[in-house]
Amino acid sequence: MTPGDKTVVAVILIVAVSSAGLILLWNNHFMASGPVEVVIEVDGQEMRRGSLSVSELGEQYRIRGVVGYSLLEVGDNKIRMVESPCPDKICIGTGWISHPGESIICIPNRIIVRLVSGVDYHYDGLSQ
Amino acid sequence: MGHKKGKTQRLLILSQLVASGSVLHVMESYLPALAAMPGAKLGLANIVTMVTLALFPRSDAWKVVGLRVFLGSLLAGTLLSPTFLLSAAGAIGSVSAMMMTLSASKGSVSVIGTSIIGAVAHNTAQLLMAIFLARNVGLLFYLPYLLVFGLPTGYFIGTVSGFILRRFFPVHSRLESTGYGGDRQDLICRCRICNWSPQLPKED
Amino acid sequence: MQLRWIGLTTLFLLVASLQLSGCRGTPPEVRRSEFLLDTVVTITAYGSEAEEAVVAALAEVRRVGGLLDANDPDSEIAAINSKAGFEPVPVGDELFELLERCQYYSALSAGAFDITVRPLVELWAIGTERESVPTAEKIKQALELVGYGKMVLDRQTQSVFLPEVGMGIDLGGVGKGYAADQAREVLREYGIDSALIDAGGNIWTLGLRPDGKMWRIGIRHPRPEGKWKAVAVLPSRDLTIVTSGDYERYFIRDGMRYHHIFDPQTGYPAQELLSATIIGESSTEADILSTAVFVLGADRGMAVVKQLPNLTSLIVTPELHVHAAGPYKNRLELVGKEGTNR
Repeated sequence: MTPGDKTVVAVILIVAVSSAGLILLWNNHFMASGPVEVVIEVDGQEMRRGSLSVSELGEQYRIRGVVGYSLLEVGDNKIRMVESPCPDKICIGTGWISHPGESIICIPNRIIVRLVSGVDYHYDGLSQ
Repeated sequence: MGHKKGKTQRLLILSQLVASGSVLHVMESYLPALAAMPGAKLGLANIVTMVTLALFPRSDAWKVVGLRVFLGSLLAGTLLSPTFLLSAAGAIGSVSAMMMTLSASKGSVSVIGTSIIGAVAHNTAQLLMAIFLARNVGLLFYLPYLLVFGLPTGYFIGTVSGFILRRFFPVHSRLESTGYGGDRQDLICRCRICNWSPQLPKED
Repeated sequence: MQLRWIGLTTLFLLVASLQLSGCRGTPPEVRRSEFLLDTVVTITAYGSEAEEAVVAALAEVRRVGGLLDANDPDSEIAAINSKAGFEPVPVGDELFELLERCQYYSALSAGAFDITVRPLVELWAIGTERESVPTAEKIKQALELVGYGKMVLDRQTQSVFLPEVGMGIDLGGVGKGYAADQAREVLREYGIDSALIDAGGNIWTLGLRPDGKMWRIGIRHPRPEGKWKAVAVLPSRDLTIVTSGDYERYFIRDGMRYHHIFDPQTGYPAQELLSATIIGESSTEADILSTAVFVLGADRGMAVVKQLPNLTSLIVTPELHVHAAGPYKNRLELVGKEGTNR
């Protein structure tokens, strides 16, 4: 890589970090009121998706990861990892997440819990 | 006579590039999507764009990329679907960014840096198109991830492109060390492989 | 060198095109709609036989619609109703079996599902220009003519007898479900492995969508606001989803909503829930049970569903709370009470 290339990489990293910061700020200030969705992925596969606003308080999700079962707890418009078979327990240390863009990631158990702002609930047919 | 032969060969190589680009485009659509980062792609078709940019004038690069997006989408069955619009936005973004890099850097940025810029611009343009299509500004949340993700993929694509250029088009071998910004026109003018000279006044 | 480049790329293209051509091509889509069973029936199917299959399935729905139409004077149902209080009417195998199934579920739901509600349906006449709130006296009179236990199904003579003048059978709570099941059978006979049947909101999903993903079926929000009409979405494969709600046919008098699903105990439209959805593998059963649960309410309704295997239920209470139970509970994607997403 030439010095020019290194400059390119550095500039991109700076833009990425600053945009991440800006987006987080923006999320906290302007997006907090929208509906929040929980997306739970195991090993890259979406396993479950739900809206935080209608999840019942104290409800728990038992998720089977690559290593074993992880337990998620839903709170008042927030969610956290309470049990995990991983050695480092970083996911539990993340604590509650409540805003779109936040996530709990458990690398050993390959679980990603992401919060996204409510997306298009497209459907093929409507039961009525 | 030599001139005519060069023209045919130029056409042949350009056609090969369009075809390879289309196939890479389709193959890319078969790769499992990275669930953690929607929109994050390896950008295989960018190899073809890099090679085209290194060997031919800009107008040809646009033609190759335009045809590649069209044919690739046709083959993948996504023509005129949102996926097609995303591909087109990504391609336009990456080609313009790489062209700007080539003319602005004057050789200080190598094929790898150029490719990284292409990958990042591709991802960004695609994300903007996705935000427009989904009317969901919340997708902007992916921007930092996609920017960072462009670094390794761009590096990989740049390395592969550099390899192809060195391996098959040895007269351009200096591209890797000096970049092809300033010297590019000269290199192509003296191209022994294609035996073809670009008409300089036509470009810019 | 350039010869090698050209040779290699040509080889690459050849190999790649062989790979790509093998697994391409989305199967042709056939979608047909028809006004049947007092509603719109839409069948979407994929595959080379889709055209013939969909035409045949719609013909089957048309046949079932004729069989179950109490307002068609030539139908067996109309014959049973007109001979009420006089004599038993012999009927074909198909109708007899269906009536037996209905009686089974009526007993199971303690009469919450009852096909002998026709006197109530006629009295309220909801959905017609005669619709009105009847007097309590009239409702009491009609209620005396309602009762699945009074209907006599004689296996020996394969006949149906309604013992009192004025009694009548109305298969509105089961017809769409039965028609959907029949249509699904036809599609399967044609070897269709990707299809969506929508019999007026009774949904049957066959196999997977042509893109290999599960069908996504919305469950109607009883009081939709904003952009999204669904209260939940169910990714579904080889499942039927049936919803009964108070929003389908109704009129509003003095701030009260009077709809078309009656509680056979009170004679009034059932008040317990806004909607009840059953997810299962028989649309007939799901249609019947969605009506039963809708009438019975949350606790008693869910208790009935629990007695039967492999059924998932989702209910929306008058407070717009959503409750779900059963094997697919966790697959349901709840959309949120605001209708979600500005």
